Parts: sequence; C-alpha cells; structure tokens
Amino acid sequence: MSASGISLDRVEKTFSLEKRKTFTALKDVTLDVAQGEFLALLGPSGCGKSTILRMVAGLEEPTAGKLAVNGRGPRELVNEHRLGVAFQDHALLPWLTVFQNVSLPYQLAKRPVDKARIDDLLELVGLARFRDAFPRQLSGGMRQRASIARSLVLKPEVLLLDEPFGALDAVTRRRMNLELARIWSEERTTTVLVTHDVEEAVFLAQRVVVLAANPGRIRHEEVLSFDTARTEGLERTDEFHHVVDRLTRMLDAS
Amino acid sequence: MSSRGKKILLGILGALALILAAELIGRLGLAGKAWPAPSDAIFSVLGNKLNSALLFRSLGATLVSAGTGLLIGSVAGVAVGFLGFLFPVLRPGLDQTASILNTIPLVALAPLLITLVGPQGMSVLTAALGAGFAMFVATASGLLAVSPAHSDFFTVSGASRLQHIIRLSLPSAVPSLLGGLTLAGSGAVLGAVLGEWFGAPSGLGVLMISSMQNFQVKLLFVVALTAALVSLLAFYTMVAIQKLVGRRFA
Ligand SMILES: Nc1ncnc2c1ncn2[C@@H]1O[C@H](COP(=O)(O)OP(=O)(O)OP(=O)(O)O)[C@@H](O)[C@H]1O
Ligand SMILES: [Mg+2]
Repeated sequence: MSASGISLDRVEKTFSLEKRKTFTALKDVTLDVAQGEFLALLGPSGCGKSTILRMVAGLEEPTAGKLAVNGRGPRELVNEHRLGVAFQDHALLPWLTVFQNVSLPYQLAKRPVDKARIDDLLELVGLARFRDAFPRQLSGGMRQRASIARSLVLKPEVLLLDEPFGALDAVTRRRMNLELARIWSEERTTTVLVTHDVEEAVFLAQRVVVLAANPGRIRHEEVLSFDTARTEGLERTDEFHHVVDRLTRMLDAS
Repeated sequence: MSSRGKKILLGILGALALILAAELIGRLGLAGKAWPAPSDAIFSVLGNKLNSALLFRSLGATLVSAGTGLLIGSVAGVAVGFLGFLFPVLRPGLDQTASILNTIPLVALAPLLITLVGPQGMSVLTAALGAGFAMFVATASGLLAVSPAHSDFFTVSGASRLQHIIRLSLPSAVPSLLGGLTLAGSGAVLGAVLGEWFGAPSGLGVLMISSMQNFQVKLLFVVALTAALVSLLAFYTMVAIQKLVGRRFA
C-alpha cells in the first residue's frame, strides 16, 4: 500500500436491505491510483462505480478491506478541504446563484473567496454569462458544468468525477474533455473519472479500469500510453480506435 | 385556458354559487328567521352607524390579538422546532406535547389556560397556540428536509456542523416554513376569535357571543363572515409571500 494516492485493498461493500437481506455491491476490489494519476472507471450500470467514489470520498465505509487516501482515512483529506467531487446528480444549491455555488467551497473551507478564479473557471466551463443565474434557470448540462467548476475551484489534491458530462451534447462534451485534459496536465490532480463513454475514458485517462457487475469487481485494467498528447488529434489515431474497440467489446460482453 | 386559470375560475364560480344559494335561502325564508339574506344582513349592519363602528372596532381588536399571537407563536414554534433539531433526544417529547396541545379541544384546555394568562390574555394565547403548532411542525420537518445529495456535498467539502446547519439546513427549511406560515396566519385569526369567547373585552369573538345572546341574527352573520374573510385574507397574504420568496428555495 503506497503512502500517496488512493489505495483500495480487497475492499468489499455490502448494503443491508430491509428484512435482514443484504446486497454485495462490490467484492474484492483492489485498486491503486498513484498520486497525480488520471484513472477512468468503466462498467455497466449498477456495477458499483459510484459506490467506489463514495467510499473514496468518505461517504460510505467499506464493509471489508482497507481503503486509504494518501495513507490515511479519506476523512483526513476532506477535513483539509483538499477533495473535489462532482456528483452524478449535480447537487447545486437552488437558492444560490451559479457564482455563489462555485464560491461555496471557499466559504466552507473558511478561506477568502478568490473571485477572479471563480470567474476564470466559469469562463472555462462556458458559464460566464450565467454567473448570476440560479440553477433552475440552467439546463441539465449547464448545471453539470457548474458542478465541475465547483469541484475544481479549490485546486483539490484528489478529484472525483461521477459521470460529469452525462447530460452534455457531443460538441460541448468534447470541449469539456479538452479543458479537463488541459487542467489535469497543468495541475496533475489525482483524478478518478466515472463514465459510460469509452472514448472519453480512453481520451482522458492514463489507465482505464473496467468493472463487471453482480457483484461489482474489477474485470480488466488497461494502461494507456499514447505517443500523442491528449489534444485534438488523439481521437483520430488508429491506436486510439483499437483500444476503444477492444474496451467496448469487453463492456458488451459483461 | 391554463389549468391555473381554470382552477381560479372554478373557485370563483363555486363561491358565487354558494353566495347565491345563501341569498335565495334567506330571501325565500327557507330556513326561517335564523338565516338572513346575506345582502340584506350586510347592508343593514353597515348602514347602521353604531353597528358598523362596533364591527370595525372589534375587527381591529381581533387583528391586534391575531397579529401578536402570530408573532409570539411563530417565534416560539420555530424556536422549539429548532431546539428539537439541535437536540434529537428532545424530539419525541416535543412532538407529543405539541400534538397533545393541538388535539385537546380548546374548551377543555381553557380553564387551565385562563388561570395562566387571565381572560384578557386568552385570545393572544390561543392565536399563538394555533400559529405556534403550525410553525413548530413546519420547522421540525423543514430542517430535516435536506436533500441527501446536498448533504453529501457539504460532507465532502469538509463543512462544520454549524456550517451544515446555517448554510444548508436553514435554507432547506424555508419552503416548509413558508408553507407553515400560510397555516399559521389563518390559524392565528381563528385562534384569536375563539380565545375572545373566554372573556375578552372586545373583538369579533366577543361580538359573536353578544349578538348571539341578543338575537342580532344579521350582526352575527356579518361578524362570522368578517372573521372568515380575515382568515382567508391572512391565508392568501401568506400564499403570496410564499410564492415571492419560496421560488428561490424550491
Ligand atoms: N445505499 C444503498 N443501499 C442499497 N443498495 C445500494 C446503495 N447504494 C448503492 N446500492 C446498490 O449498489 C449497486 C451499485 O450502485 P452504484 O450507484 O455504485 O452503481 P453505478 O455503477 O454507479 O451505476 P450507474 O452507472 O447507473 O450510476 C447498485 O446495485 C445499487 O442498487
Ligand atoms: Mg453511478
């Protein structure tokens, strides 16, 4: 077990349901994410991707096995305000404007609000014109982008993204992917991205982990080392398509 | 026509039909002398200087009691609800006390309450009880109405318990509080009128009793109508506030 990054060691998660029934969502998951690594999780719906993220974020406890972030419990990172999470459901506060929502992490961390940084981030996710709008005035995809901006605002050490681009159109999604790749190459934030989009996973991640369901477990790991940088051209290379094809077939089979 | 417009139209039509029926029953004397025609009752009471002055004075007194009771009751209800939120051990006890106070008929409770505040204080107290119960329930349930996703966000952002309460629980309770206020407003008016039956110096409730005892059927009718209108007005004022403020928090 390494002292930095995220490590899951034979982690199991069993939920207790009503009438003493239980459900094992994850079984024997061993996974290490090195500090500064970008990892993507792929897998069928219900295989436990969100559950893994929730455990790394300290929202759920593993029922067996060990989980550590930087060699400590996940709550330590949380208490230092160094974790960024964009949830599957955007979780913006409806009574705050976009700008106020994105500045909330500063307030919760009791740090002075860096207005320039918030405006930069809003510009980056294409919401500059909507900084004073309320979440209900935004489309689903715009809310997701606000939520991503919020997860990035404190320059977290660990970033957890749960299908952050699910509600975006193809063009915006590609633009967000490029921005995320750029941010990651600048900040080298340890990132775990959950996605259903194989191309997105292969484009962004250094390593892709494919999960299988019932019980959720690791089925395959693919280390990606393209010669090309993660910019415009990568998706047009043969190598990229091979990997995407192979992973897609693997998902179809699971 | 929008479904909202239809609803309003239906409401107006229904009210008109009721008024028309009441008018007909009165005009034709179907229910005897105890049922005056509304138009006749209103004109004769408002046309009589003495009676109309009495009505407005009573209305004023009731409004003051209802307003005071609404204020006291709301503050107390919110405070007690908040207390139960901060200290969950208190919750079952508070819930039980509140529902006992609310379900025991006022007549049964009255002797005890009169010894506490005297007959003059009764209308404010009963108004406060009516409003207080609504606000207590609204606060208690509202503070727990936090969406799990929002709560998760606060948790992973390392929010303190105080930040959780102030920045999440309180704003999340606003829709419920506003809903409670719509009930508290009309509840305070009704509570004030009922409380005045137990020996208040003046008010709509007092006027009801006295007109009943003196067989002033028309006056009684108009007083009851006024009380109902004020309570409706209180309700719709709160609904308007709810619409204005609540949109942001929903
Ligand atoms: N709190 C819970 N109680 C009971 N079962 C749960 C709970 N949370 C998750 N599960 C179950 O665990 C399994 C994995 O859920 P999870 O949300 O991690 O899936 P996922 O891979 O993120 O799916 P999706 O791609 O649809 O988001 C599901 O079968 C789900 O029903
Ligand atoms: Mg999920």
